[in-house]
Amino acid sequence: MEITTFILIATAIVGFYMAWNIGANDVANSMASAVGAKAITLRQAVIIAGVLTFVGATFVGTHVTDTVRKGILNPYEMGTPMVVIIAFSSALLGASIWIFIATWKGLPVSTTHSIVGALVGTGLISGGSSIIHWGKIWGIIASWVISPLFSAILAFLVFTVIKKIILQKDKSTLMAKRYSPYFIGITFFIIFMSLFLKTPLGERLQISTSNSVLFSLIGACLTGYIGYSIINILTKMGKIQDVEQIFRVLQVLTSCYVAFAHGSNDVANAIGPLAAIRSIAITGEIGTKVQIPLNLLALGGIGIAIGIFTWGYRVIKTVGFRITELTNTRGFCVDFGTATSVLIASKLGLPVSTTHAAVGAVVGVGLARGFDAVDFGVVKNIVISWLVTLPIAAGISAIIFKLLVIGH
Amino acid sequence: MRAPIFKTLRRSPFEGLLEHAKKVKECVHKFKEAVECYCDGEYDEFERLRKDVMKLENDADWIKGNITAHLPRRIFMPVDKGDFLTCLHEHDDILDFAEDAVIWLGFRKTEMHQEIKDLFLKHLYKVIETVETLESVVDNVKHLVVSVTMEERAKAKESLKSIHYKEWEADQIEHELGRKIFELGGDMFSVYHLLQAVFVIAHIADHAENAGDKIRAMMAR
Repeated sequence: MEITTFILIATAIVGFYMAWNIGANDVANSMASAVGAKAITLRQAVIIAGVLTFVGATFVGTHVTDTVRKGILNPYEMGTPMVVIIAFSSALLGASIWIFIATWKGLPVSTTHSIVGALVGTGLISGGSSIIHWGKIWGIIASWVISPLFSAILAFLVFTVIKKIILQKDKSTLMAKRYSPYFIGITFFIIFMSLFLKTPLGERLQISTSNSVLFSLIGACLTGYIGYSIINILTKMGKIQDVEQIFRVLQVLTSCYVAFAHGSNDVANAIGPLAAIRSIAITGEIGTKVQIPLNLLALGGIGIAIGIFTWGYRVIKTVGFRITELTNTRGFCVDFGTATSVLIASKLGLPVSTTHAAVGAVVGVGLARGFDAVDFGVVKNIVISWLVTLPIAAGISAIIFKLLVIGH
Repeated sequence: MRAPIFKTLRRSPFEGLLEHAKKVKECVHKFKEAVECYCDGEYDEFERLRKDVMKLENDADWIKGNITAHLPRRIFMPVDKGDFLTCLHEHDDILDFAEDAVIWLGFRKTEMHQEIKDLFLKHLYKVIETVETLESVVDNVKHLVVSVTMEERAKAKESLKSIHYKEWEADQIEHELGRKIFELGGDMFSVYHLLQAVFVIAHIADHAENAGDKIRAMMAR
């Protein structure tokens, strides 16, 4: 077997492990609330998460993949194509090892941050500080802080609005019925916008930005109306008696939305380096513009889905049934804040952490007095994980790279 | 497992407060029965109920300790944590005084004149009424601080206001009872024993009133 084929297979396995890990651990942060609040069953959560992360990964994931793969360092100056292959393989392996340790120890680290740190580590050791695009790195680091913050502000605002216009009104159920179609419409507006703008779907249909807004608005109005009709039918069937039940319907929607956003954002962590290695292995050189094949994104999507099916469901179950605080209204706000901030970041090509955005949203709803007790200690631990993940993932990857280069 | 969202949301301290309130209700009920038995001279039954009150007070203390232990500085609550903890302590004081009252009564078998007995029980029932009104609001406290509607808010405020009135009524009965105990006289030990018991029981209503004020403060935030 040729060495490049061997590396390719080995990297695919490690990339698959990363994807599996995302499915096994990170999906729970977004799906557990819906299961805990009994909006969906565990089985439904697993199926929804599996299908939608796959769809999100395959059809929306390309832009983030691009940033992680090429944006943060200049592969031309790393050395020969073989050195680049070894560097990217080491980065993927290094990030995986760190993720494995963090998962074992229960540390709130991000797979996204680990892979970025790992790439920087191998970049530094192979080509020195000059090949790293530090401007981009600082931008990415800023986005790590901004995305949970944005997610928190969004969740805070949405919950405050729900509280003022629904929960604190005397006829709160009636108010919930009146306003929920708007929430459905807004949610779908953002989903459609994400689909149309800069995704393979939007490009294929050749829709301009202004048309995207128009079509998204039409789509939002339609889905809002459908939502309105569904809620009316459910009310007539006597299935809706209180506010939480109405939001249960909305939460199913936002859970799908989170799963979709999750796949689109996080697939890059697993297949970013793999895509680069594959193109170098095939062409034998570091190309100027590398096409990211759909089947590779699909591989990442399948990896995440298998992660959910094999282990993720247990984590969703454990977390979901122990978080009793996340009722449907709160869960909706958390999901909405998380998914919107992740999708926007994903569209801007910024690799942010879905997990940290979810924690940001929980804190946001907490500050809006939506939760009885929010532990800010976790926020501190996340900040610590921000500080340690980069150097540790970078260090592990750099060591692996050195060992592989000596071996080679 | 790596799920930080799970660690971000802690168990609701309000649930702890409700658990504590359940013990308060149980304990106050036993306390009422105990004092009734004492007034009727059923000292054996009183002794049994006194032990029940002490056990329930002890259980509630344990719950209180557990709530406080799980509320470090980094935990953020929708209400002022100081108000919440003071409310909990005031709640706990209700039980402390109920326990003190049965212990004090148990020191001596003092027989009561019918007139004193009637007033003594009247005072007791009024005090118990303040606690029951408080508990009716506490049952809904979690809802009251977040998603309360104007109507529910007005209702809760009305109940809390009525605690003040009931406490005032209890005070009036207490004064009347004090006067009556001196008026009817008797041996010095009996007078002192009964007077002190009345004072201790009166504290229960005072603390129910204080706990109500703290709930009002939590609602106002």
